[in-house]
Amino acid sequence: MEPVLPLATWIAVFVPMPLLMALALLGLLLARRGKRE
Amino acid sequence: MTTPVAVAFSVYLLAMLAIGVYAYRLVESHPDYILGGRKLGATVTALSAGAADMSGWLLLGLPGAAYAAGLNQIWIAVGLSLGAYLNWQFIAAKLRRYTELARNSLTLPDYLENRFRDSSRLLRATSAFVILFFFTIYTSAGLVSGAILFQQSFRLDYETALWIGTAVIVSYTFLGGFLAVCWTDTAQGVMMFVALLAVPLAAAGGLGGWEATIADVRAVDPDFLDVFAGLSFTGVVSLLAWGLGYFGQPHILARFMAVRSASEIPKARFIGMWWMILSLYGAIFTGVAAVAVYADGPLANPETAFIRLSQDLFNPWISGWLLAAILAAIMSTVSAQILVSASAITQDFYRSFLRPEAADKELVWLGRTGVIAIALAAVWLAGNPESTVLGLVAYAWAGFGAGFGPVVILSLVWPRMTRNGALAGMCAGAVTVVVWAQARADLWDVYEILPGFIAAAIAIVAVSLLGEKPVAEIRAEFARV
Repeated sequence: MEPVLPLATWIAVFVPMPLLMALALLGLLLARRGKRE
Repeated sequence: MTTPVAVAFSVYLLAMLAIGVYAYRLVESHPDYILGGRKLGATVTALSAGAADMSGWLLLGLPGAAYAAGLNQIWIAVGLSLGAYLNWQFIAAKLRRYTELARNSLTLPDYLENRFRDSSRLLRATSAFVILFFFTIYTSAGLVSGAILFQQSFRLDYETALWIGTAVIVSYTFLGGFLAVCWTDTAQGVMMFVALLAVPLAAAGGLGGWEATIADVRAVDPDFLDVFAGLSFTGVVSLLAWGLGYFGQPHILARFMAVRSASEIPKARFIGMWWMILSLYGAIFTGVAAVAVYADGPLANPETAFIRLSQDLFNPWISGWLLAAILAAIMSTVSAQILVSASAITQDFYRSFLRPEAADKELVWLGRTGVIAIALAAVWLAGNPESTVLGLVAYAWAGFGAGFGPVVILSLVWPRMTRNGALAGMCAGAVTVVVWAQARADLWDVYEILPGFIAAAIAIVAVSLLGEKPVAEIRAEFARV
């Protein structure tokens, strides 16, 4: 069976933007921890 | 006219007016009117920056492009997300702190003049002129798309539609100024977000899930699933380069300047980025899902993908609200731009050049008059539905991005930057965009923002290094940021 999306497409669609979401979340968590300390 | 759509539009428009009236009671001074007294919380900052940024393009243009060309449109989404993230990460907090330290600057031209202690007024006058010029075009493009939406939804004639849309936007901006614009932006941002998640999820659900949808799209044309299909290297670079525009958009930077405190930025960045990226995914998947849904009867106009899916997949009482979300996307951008233009008139021309001693109340009312004047100029430009202003949005985005972007970035991170460097960068960026847009086919057919941005950065660095070091007062202020 063919993969759902070609690999290059899967990477372009599902890697950079979720990575930025993760960085934004990490930034928030770090800032919260910094505030507590 | 269908009753459910009319009800949704009317309730939505009345709610926006109510916000305008409520904010009117809170405007006590000129800084309140043009910058909300710098007291925005993280959520309002994030959603108003997002909604002011994203126009009707997010619900009409992007799904339309994905419907017509497939997943290769992801590149513009990646470029925009990256630009927005870097803007939040490296510009937002610093700009907030610096604008307050630099003699409590309320507008971008104000900041540039105060940051470089420019007594010649050249920086302020040039930047305020660029803002008025490009925003009148930009605002006009928003009014055209709003009028077309009204016209199609209610079968009104174009001119009536244009006046109705403008009247509502102007009333809440006129009354409540920056706070009204940011609060309405927040409500509008929520509507856009919900609509952009609901439509593709309902479409994919109806087709039997994600894998079934993709299989249906592949059956129509496998190239729709190839991110490089039909794109050259330059094409990919051009789409990614859209992200460079963020650093110079005055209506987005104004949100950073208005946040309660720089410590709110991490939370605002988180909300703003999640809102933006999920909305961009929603828009692209709306277009891709429409390929599968309308496999047997393709849409005549790709830009109607979101509208058609809203109408075909939902109960009319819900689709009315989904269509109102398009109006929300258009209005949130237009109102933000009108207000920034009005603040250029009051703060950067009237107060700086004509009446430095003007009282607060006088400035607030002049700002309100400015809102009406800018709107009338934009309506005049938007005079007919075939108006060419819609094609000028990419041009205005590039003009701001290259004209102001490198100037704003370097002014925040490079203490050696000088007034002449800023002026040279602004001119080099704007001129390169104008020239490149005319000649790009003969040069390198890349989106003009990229050469404009590079030219501006080189001009700033070269001219600054050729001149004398900034005076001690400027260096000391920079060190405190």
